[in-house]
Amino acid sequence: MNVGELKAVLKQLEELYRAGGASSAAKDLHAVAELLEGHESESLEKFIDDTRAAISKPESKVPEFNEAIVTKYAQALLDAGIDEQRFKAALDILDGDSSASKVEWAEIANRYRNAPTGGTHQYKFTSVKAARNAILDTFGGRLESVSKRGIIERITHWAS
Amino acid sequence: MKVAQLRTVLAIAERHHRAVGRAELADGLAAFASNLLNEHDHMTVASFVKRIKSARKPKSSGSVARGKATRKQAKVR
Repeated sequence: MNVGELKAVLKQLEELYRAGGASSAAKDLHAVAELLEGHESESLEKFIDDTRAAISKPESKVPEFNEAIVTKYAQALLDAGIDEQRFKAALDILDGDSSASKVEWAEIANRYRNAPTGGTHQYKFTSVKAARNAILDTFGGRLESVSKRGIIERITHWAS
Repeated sequence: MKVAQLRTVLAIAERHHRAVGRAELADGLAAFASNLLNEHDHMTVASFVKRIKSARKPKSSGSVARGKATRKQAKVR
């Protein structure tokens, strides 16, 4: 049996549903029949095999990143701790490295955010700018948290 | 409608064609329903169709995508 014969049956069913006022079902059958357009002379078996193969592929591939670049910069940023100068120097070098693209930036930002807590959540960054801002925000948050802790410790020490 | 409902419609059509002696057509409908649609019962027909259409679309090459990312990065800087 070829695809054209199946298409004819689907068209008949579409007409049947449309005539009965079931336009939504008719529309669906029309859409399925449309998928068969251009394949009418193929055997149904081949069409099914080809279509199954096409849809069994993953829909979206997770973008690959350069592990060496990511490890190098994520580690440099983490090693800087809350030292503003070291952090800025590490970020400047990363800014100047044209081999780091959006995927590397996103992975660096994720590792930088997750490393201290061992978190595994993968944040999605739509641009280099978004990933860079996340790194800056994370650094700012860590710096603030340490200085607040320092103030509290000084006050506690002074009061005791 | 859901793909499961479409399979039911096709099963009825299959019975009809078998009853009137069109065994080959009935077998074709059964093959289409069981070999292509059966794993997608939970989807709507519209999303199933969309999925097939997008799977058939030729993908852009990695170098083009990477070039786009690099241009974007240059713009940010």
